[in-house]
Amino acid sequence: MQPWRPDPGLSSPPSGGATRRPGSRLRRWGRGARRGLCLLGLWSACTAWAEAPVLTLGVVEDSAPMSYRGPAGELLGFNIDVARALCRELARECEFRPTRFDTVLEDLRQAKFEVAAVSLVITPERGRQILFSRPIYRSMTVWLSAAGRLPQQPQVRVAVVGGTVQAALARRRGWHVVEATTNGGLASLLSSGQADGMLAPMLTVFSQMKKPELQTLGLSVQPYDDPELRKGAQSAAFGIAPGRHELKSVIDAALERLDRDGELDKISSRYLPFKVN
Amino acid sequence: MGRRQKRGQSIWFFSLLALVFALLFGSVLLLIDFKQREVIEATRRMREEGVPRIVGLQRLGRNLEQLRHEGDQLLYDSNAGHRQEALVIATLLANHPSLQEDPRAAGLGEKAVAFLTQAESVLLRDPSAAEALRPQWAPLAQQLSLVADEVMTEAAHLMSQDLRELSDQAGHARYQLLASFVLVGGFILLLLYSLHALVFKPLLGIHRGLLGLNARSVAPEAAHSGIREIRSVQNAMGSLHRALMENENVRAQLEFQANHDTLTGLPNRRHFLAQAADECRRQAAAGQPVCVGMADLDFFKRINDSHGHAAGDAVLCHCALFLRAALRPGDLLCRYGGEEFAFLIIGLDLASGQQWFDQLRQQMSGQVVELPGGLQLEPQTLSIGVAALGAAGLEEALREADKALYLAKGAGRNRVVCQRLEGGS
Repeated sequence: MQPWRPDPGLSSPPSGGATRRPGSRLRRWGRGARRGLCLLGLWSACTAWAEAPVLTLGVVEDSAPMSYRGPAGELLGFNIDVARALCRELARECEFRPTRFDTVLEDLRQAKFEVAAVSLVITPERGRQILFSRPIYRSMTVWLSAAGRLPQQPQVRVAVVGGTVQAALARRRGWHVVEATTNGGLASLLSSGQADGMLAPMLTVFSQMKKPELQTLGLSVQPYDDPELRKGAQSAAFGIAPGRHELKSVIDAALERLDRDGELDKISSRYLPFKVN
Repeated sequence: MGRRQKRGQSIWFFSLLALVFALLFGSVLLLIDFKQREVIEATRRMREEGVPRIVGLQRLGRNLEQLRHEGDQLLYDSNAGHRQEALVIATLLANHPSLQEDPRAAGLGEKAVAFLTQAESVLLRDPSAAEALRPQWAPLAQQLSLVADEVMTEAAHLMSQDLRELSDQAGHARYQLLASFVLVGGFILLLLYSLHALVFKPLLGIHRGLLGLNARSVAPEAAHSGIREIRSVQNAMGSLHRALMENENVRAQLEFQANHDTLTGLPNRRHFLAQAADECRRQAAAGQPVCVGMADLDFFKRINDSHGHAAGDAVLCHCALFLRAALRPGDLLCRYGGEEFAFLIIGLDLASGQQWFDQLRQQMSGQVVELPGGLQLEPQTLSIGVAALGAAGLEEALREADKALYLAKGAGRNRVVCQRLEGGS
């Protein structure tokens, strides 16, 4: 194999042989320039693909059906699929980071992730700490207990997940609160007799009621209507790191497209018993 | 006059036209913009209000169907766990804001959940009661389906209505756009016609007038224009024509002075020679004979000496008038110098020429010259030398004629001597 040598025609005129036509060098330069531009374009496209910006999202890992680990440890759930659809819509790569209900706001403030893919009920108090995306679905607070018991009754122990609006409400009302760190913990509190009822978002209650240990307790479900919860508590949204208004704009626009195009409905049908939008 | 001129100024007319056009075009643009905004606003309303409302109704319809399905599940499934799950879902559904916001669905949902809750409590005690409960559930289930259908139909109707409104808006915008284009197009045509009639056509007339403008033609006629600038150019063209005519007159005078003798008005020698050379060429080409003659007033010096130079001048003028009058058409005559005259006689050979000159001499000798003071002089006589134009040319012929004149003088004057025919008559 002969070693590669540069084409002498590119740097100096040929010393002999066939005479080149006057325009040939210009044409070769033109071809070279075009190839260069093509390569540059490909390089740019490859770079853009390889360097697709990452969107970091905080997720709760045991909050079925919103976000949980599947049998193989994979992340599943309504919020997870919405987050993935959101990343596709934004042409960004999703990077999920674990969080918990009771730390999610602090994690957002500390910029551990940009978006909390967690069903956060929109409240004015939270709104002062973080940004909210446009509402993703409408929720309501449900009281699950044996028939005839109410959370405001003095002897009733109310199970809540720490960091939720329900926990905040229960504390403000001065109820007997038993706090769990995860949704799964709520069922344990009830089945073990440590709590008499749970105050939780409707989809959490729906998910927990699938557990046999709760089905045998003969619990009844009733919506809990409270004026304080009614103040914006009907809507759940993703949280966005404070100050990231430009990120909120693009996320809101993307969620609006996903909602309009029916993508949110498709995801909802996958995990939820009815249309919650 | 001033008012008329002001009215005729193109700057005012076209400024007014431009202002009207600008106002018209601006109004059209505003109208188009307004309609486009309406279309955009209708699209935005449809996207931000219509579509969510339609999607919301579709979801409500599906939720009502889901509620009916959960009721069926509760009444047809013997598994207590499944029944409880169905009741939970039905309870959540009936209380969900999506149902509660719609008055039709809210009441129906609460009624359905109340029935299902009571049914479940009955079934917990007596599972065989399902048979009896199902007919009671059937009307509620049917009502749920009917409301669901109604809601879905309303969604379809809303979509159709929104699309119709959007289509109407777009259609109106299109017609207005077309009408605007026609209006603007018409105005542009009017503008172009005005430019053609008031500016371009008069300018073309001026162009044609300038192309045909010369001192010998009449002044170009220009149609009256309402535009002051055009009228100015037309007036300038008239001034130019007058200037051309004046220049031509001056030039003609100068040319005459350069070619004629100031005293007698006859062509001078240089002019005669130039004219005669041209004429000789023409006659030679035509094969016509030509003869030349040189004539000299006899004893002219005596008149100057006796009566003064003014009398001499008067005699010269008199002779010049006489000789010019005697010429035939086409013949040439000039004052060759002093009291000497040269002739170019066309169509006569030497013999005929001699005869013609002799007649001339005789007529001259019968003329009495009257001076300005009334003094009458004796008739003047001429000595004439004649020569034929030969192959040697005009100058040679004149020299020959001059020689013959010299001979005529020498022979006693008042006679015609021919170049070859010696002697006088």
